[in-house]
Parts: sequence; structure tokens; C-alpha cells
Amino acid sequence: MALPPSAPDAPCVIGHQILIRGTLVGEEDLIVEGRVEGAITLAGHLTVAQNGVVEANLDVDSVEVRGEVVGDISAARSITIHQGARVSGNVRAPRVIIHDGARFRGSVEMKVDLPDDLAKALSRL
Amino acid sequence: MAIPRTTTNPEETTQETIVGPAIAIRGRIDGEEDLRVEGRIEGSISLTETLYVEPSGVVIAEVEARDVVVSGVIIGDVTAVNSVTLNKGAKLIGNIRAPRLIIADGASFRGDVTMDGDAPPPIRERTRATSTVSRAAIGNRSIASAGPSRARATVSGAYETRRASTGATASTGTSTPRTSATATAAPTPARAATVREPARAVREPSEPAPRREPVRDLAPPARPPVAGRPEDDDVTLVIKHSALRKGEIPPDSGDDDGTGTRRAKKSARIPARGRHKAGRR
Amino acid sequence: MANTVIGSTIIIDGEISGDEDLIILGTVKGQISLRENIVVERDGVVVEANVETATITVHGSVTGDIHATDRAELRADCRVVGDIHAPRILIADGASFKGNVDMDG
Repeated sequence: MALPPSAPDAPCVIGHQILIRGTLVGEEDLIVEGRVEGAITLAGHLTVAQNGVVEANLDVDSVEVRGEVVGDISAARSITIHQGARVSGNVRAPRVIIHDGARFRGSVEMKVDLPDDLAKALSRL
Repeated sequence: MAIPRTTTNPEETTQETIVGPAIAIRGRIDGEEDLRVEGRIEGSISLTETLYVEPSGVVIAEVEARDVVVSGVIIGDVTAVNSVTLNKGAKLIGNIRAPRLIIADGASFRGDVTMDGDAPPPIRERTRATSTVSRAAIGNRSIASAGPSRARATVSGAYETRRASTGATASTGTSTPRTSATATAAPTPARAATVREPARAVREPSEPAPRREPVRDLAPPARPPVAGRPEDDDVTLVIKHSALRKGEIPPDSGDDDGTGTRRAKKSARIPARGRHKAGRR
Repeated sequence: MANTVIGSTIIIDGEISGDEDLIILGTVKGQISLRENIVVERDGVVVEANVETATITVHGSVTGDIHATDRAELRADCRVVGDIHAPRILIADGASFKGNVDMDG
């Protein structure tokens, strides 16, 4: 597990031998090294570690994926998909960062501020 | 003017074409060298090399290239044989199809992404600046999904002869036969990135680019698009993107050429309670 | 091995299974099946749960049946409502417990 030493105050971790099936709701940072199936709603930062697998819709503050996510992701801040990560689903966030070597399939929705003239042109199409 | 010139960058030995900041081109561009857009291009772009859209560049086009590096704006679907890179400040609205996609922080993007490893479209052979091979895929899809009012025939005309405006209008609608286009392009291999058919829309640099009106005026009555005609490459501008209008359900373009960007049904992705696996595929 | 920690603001509604120690500071509702050790910390809450585990140590609250293959410890100030099946059971002074105890299983 290439997991960086995380926050000093015992972070919430779903270890790599653990499977959770159901919904997970929380207000703190969470690291998934194991497997979660269902849904995650988190007012915090979610890390899907390298071997972590999340088959769930995610509604989080921010998320960083190094493992695998199958499901839609909605983040209030940012979504970062690292090299080697696999994400299959639609992602929506103000900031979406996809690193080289990430596998992504789905749609991306970010706010795109076009210059006025282009926005007009677009709306006429 | 789009002038091929040897780049000053010492590490690049290939030629590249630069569309300067005060240039606007409307039409179709085929090329076999790098194209750097600092101005504005509307229509379609098909390159065997890299398309750079600089921060000041605006591309409203279906784009097909080996690599696409965006720092400016692209509106339209982008297909890359190798990679698509959205740098900081890039704005892209459209669907991306590429084995590699890099989105930097500070880029913004709306659209579907397909990174399937399954056989990326083969790099078309380096035969002059002819039309593309894989364009069929894109062209078809767009036309099929775009509805009659969206498809618009290009104004054809020689790039160099701006005078031809009225005459060119008359000859619109029917695309130049591909073979002849090839022939014309053939003698000028050095200028591989020829701007072939289009181009009337080149404007005086001083003139602030009037955006879409010119096309409107010159456009012949829209003919019903013929779906499934690969050579129907005179469709200038088709922007097919569901997200253009928020909340709209993506049009089912009916193409089954393996775009595969649509999601599986939710039930297929999220396992039922108590089930171990989602019934994917 | 890294423990699994369910943080204090986390609520899990569903099923947890696995092969690894589990520390619960938050709330778990549903089934827990582990082959290792569970610690329910002081503010940890497990409700409507059937718990299967090797050992369980409860400082917090558990509502539901507990099946431990090794040991169940009910520490001071804990609250447990449900049946406990375990070969070894420890109930500390100050623990609150309501249910049956079965040490044969």
C-alpha cells in the first residue's frame, strides 16, 4: 500500500481486508483501502487508496482516487484521478484533475466559463 | 495567414503551421504537420500530428489529431489517436475520445470521455492531405445526431482567393470530389497542412471577427443531412453535446460504433443491497 | 496491518465483512462479520447489528446479538442489549447489559 502517512489524529480507514456493503455517511476524512459497495456521502476528503475499490456513488467534499471507483462522483471541491487509477462513472466538480496514466470512462462536468461571444455562439447552435 | 514555417524551437525539427491570433478560418483543415492555433478556426480539423490550441486560440470544430494540447478553447468533439491534454486555462466543451487524457488543475471541461484501450483508430496513412479515414466515424455520428438544422454545408472556395466569395457560394453544397481534392493537394507536399476547401472566411486581421453571421448569410439552405455518408465531409460545424443545455438527456445518437461513453444503467452499476457484484454489462 | 477505523462522525448503514481488526468510534447499523477483533470505543455505537467476530471489546453501545469465537469483553460504562455467545465473557463493573449469555457455543 503506497499510502502516505496520513493525518496524525487517527484517520478513518476502511482497511484493505474489509468489505462494507451499504451506505456510509460521515463528516470527516476517510481512506478506503478495502472495498465499499453502496454509497458514500462524506463532508470531507475521501481517498481511495491504491488497492481500494469503491463501487458506489460518491457525494463528497473532495476525492482523490488511486484505486478504482465505479459509480458517479459528485464533489463540492475537487476530484483528482491519479496515475494508475480507474474511474468509471460520471464526475462532477468545480475542479477535475486527471493525471496521465489514469483510466477514466464517463462524462465530466465542470463549469466552463466561455467568453461572451463564444457562449452566445454556442447558445445559438 | 496560415503559413507553414519551421519552428524556432530547436528541439522540434518538424514544420508547423501557425494560425496567428488575428486569423479566423472557417472550413476544413487537413494536415500532416503540427498546427498551432492562436486565432480562430471553425469547421473541422484533421491532423496526423499535434494540434496546439494556444491560450488565445479558439477552435469550434470537430478535431481529429494524433495529439491535442489545449490551452485555449475548443468547442466540439475531439478524437486523438494518442493523447489529449487540457492545460491550465483550457476550456473544452465536447466529447473526448483518446487513449490518454490529461486534465490539469485549472482546466475546465464538459463532455464524455472514452479512453477505451480497444484499438484506437489507426493513424491514417501519410498520403498527402487527403480526407481522413477515421473521419467517417466522427462525421457520421455527428451528422446522424445533429438534426437537419445543425448540419450546414460548407462554403467552398480556395483559400488564397478571397475574391471568390460569390462564386463560391454558388458552388456550395456539393463537396469537392475527394479525388480531385487529393490531386490538388498532392503537388504541395511541403505545405502539407493545406487549408483546402474552405476559407473564404478569412478576414482582414484588423476587422474584428464577426462571429457567426457570415456563415449564416452564405450558407445555402440546409439540406437534409445524409446519415451514414462517410464522405459527407462538408458539414462545417456540428456541435453535438448533450451538456450544452444543462440537464438535457444526452441524445441517443444511434451510433453503435462503440463510442460506449454512455453509462450502464444505474442498476447495473450499483449492486443491489446484499448483492456482491453489480450486474455489469 | 492497518486497522480499520470507523471515525466518530461516520455512519455506516449496511454490512461490514472482512479479515481485519475494526475500531468503531462512529455508528454502524447492520451486520458485522469479522474474523478478527472488534473494539467499540466509548462513543461508538452499533445498532440493529448481528456481530460475528473473534473477539469484541465494547466500551460504547451495542444493540444486537454478539457471536464471538474467542472472547467478548463488556467494559465499564458500556451498554449492550442482546444475546452474547462466546466461550469467554468478561463483564466489567459498571457495564450495563441486558440479554442472555451463552458460553457453550
